[in-house]
Amino acid sequence: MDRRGALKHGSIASLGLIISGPIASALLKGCSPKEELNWSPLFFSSSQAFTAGALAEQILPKTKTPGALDLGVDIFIDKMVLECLAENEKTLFKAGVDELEERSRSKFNSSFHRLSSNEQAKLVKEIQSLDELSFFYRFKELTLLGYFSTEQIMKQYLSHIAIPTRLEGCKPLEPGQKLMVGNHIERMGFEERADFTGRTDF
Amino acid sequence: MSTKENKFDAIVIGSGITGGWAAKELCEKGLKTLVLERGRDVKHIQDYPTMNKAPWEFDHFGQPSKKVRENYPVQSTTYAFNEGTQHFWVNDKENPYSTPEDKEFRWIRGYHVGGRSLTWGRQSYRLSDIDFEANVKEGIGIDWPIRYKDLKPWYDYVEQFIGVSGQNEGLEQLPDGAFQPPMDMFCVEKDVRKSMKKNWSDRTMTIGRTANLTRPVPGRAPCQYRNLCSRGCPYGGYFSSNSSTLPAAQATGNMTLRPNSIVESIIYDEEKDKAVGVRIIDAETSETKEYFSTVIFSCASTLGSTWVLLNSKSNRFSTGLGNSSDTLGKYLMDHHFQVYSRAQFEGYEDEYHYGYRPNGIYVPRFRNLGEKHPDFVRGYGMQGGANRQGWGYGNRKLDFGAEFKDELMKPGPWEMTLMGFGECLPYEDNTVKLNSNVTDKWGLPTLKIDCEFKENEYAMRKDMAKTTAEILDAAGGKNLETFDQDDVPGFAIHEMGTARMGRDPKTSVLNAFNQMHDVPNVFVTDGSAMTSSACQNPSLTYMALTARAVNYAVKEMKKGNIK
Repeated sequence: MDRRGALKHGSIASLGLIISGPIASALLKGCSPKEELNWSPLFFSSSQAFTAGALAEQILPKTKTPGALDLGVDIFIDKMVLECLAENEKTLFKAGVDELEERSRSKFNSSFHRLSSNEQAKLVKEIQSLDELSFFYRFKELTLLGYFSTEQIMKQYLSHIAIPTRLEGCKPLEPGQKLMVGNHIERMGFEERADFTGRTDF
Repeated sequence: MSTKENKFDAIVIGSGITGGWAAKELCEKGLKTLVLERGRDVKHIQDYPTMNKAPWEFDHFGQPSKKVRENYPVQSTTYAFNEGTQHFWVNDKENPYSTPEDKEFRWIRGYHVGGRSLTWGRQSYRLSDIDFEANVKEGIGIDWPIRYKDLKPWYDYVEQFIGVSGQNEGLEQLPDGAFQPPMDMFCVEKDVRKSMKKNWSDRTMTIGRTANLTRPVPGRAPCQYRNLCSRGCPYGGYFSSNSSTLPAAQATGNMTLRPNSIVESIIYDEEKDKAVGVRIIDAETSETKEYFSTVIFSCASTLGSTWVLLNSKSNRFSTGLGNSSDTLGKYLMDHHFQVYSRAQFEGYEDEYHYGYRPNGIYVPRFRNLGEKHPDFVRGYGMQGGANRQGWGYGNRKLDFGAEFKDELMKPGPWEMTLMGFGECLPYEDNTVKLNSNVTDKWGLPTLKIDCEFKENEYAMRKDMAKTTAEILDAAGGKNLETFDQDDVPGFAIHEMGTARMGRDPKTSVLNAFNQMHDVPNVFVTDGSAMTSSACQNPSLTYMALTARAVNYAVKEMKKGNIK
């Protein structure tokens, strides 16, 4: 199945059927030495893609709402790093993922994506504290973008209002109010620009 | 040679915010008008390919790709550049300009019908007599040849046609206008406004005065609060040449709009001692063509018009058309901004809003109105606004995991930002010149821009940092942060000056009606005409100057003074 094509056309709902990174690894753990990614990364190596996918899932894990991997965020990050990031940032992404994997092997003697969620979280906290404006910050930014910009999350889990037609400046919060989102685009800090709400026309 | 096919009553160079206005006014006064636009055609609605797209419908969820950013290294730095708007900016690789190595200038441009009127920020403020009198009172630069009373009826006229929503506050430094009903303030903004009034008798916060409709006007529906303006609006909810002035000009039957027409020069006839027409390069065929007219309006943007004038050389005007004063290309200005403070506001957790407001708040200038500030002259306004944060806020939080995700699915904390926009003084050595060493794909010389902010601007920035912070602090803002970054001229996209208006032909290029002192049948009505920069967003003033100049030019034609 062409997950990449599915992602591009926005029909990500069907991806729920696919066995993605950590689930695949859980199934494989202990019964098969050979793991295969069920999509072909363009930027990361297969092993880096496993690590990156597990990291994205740590940032936005599956709960009663979908996790990053349910939305193909790993595939999105791979595409974004390749097509949108500058060379130095690409290097940063490979180095960051490798660093995470290395720490996992030296501390737990296992691949990052095979660790328990608690073990993974420990390592993520470590790399988060390394340099907040570097790898982890960038990676998280792409994770959030790739998750919250999908049709499934925007329409099913947020309050997507494409054409509000009117403005109310002060409105009491409704019970169970979800985040309201429109079709505007969040400006990412690829070049660390100001987040300036006075010029909100993004 | 002038023939029936290439002869018009008027030629307008440019179709952006002032070109559209010149076209409308000239056509409505019965003049057969040729409008020349160097870029491609953009038809209202049908040429807005992204106007209804959701984030997931873009290749990179809206983020420009590396390839695009490589071709648009300057343009892609501006706030409104993304996958939804990238087709409305110039390719920097194909449109080079130069600066000294230590003086960056970001020249943000759109070459297409409508120009930057499609992507502009829409903030619309009047200048006041405090601005028009500042130069002569302080002995800086030269005196403006006009006062507020000269422009007031034209501000009224322009505001009513384009539709500006806003609130009258009765302030001397920011004159009231003919506004549509104002947009709502958010709860936090209302309280910060109250706090400001209580703490500072001279400071006010008002809702942004924006060229977004809150009531319909003929042919255009009101704003639908999608906040997607810069992609082009299918409702005509904000003012652009494409939605407003060009259709009005078209409706007269007097307009010929010619896209893909790069004006190479204005043709000056030594014997007749006047401009007789323009020479263009057809961008599609590379052919050179000439068009003739009685009057010419240059509305090609500040640096665009100045380039045309500098490149229009003749025996009489060896350094550029109408440059006997030797001031053409000098006194370049831009507002300095990007000094801002940001704070969170607690206690508003039960308050939300509905709709996405394409507008912020405005704090009119309060410095150097009565008491003199010891460190700088002139002043600054503030723009900004409060916002209940969305998931993007998660990027600034050091957190991850299940609770983090659940939190981002709900409305986030209220934050408010205030950013200063300051006046830049006119300096003779902030210049643009023709650069024959770097030519474009047509073999035409390009611009060398040499511009910097100086002591007065930097002293003002220190005060902006202080006051933006103290206002938020006094209103109870938490986690207050202040930033000062990107003090690069051009970045405010309010470039002004370089063909200034003045009373004396020896020290200015244009007179009180934007008419060239030296060549009375040529008018320049874009930002290049500005004698000082004030601190208000300038486009409304350019539009008012344009409508006023056309009115004058047509009267002069009728009197036989321009023929």
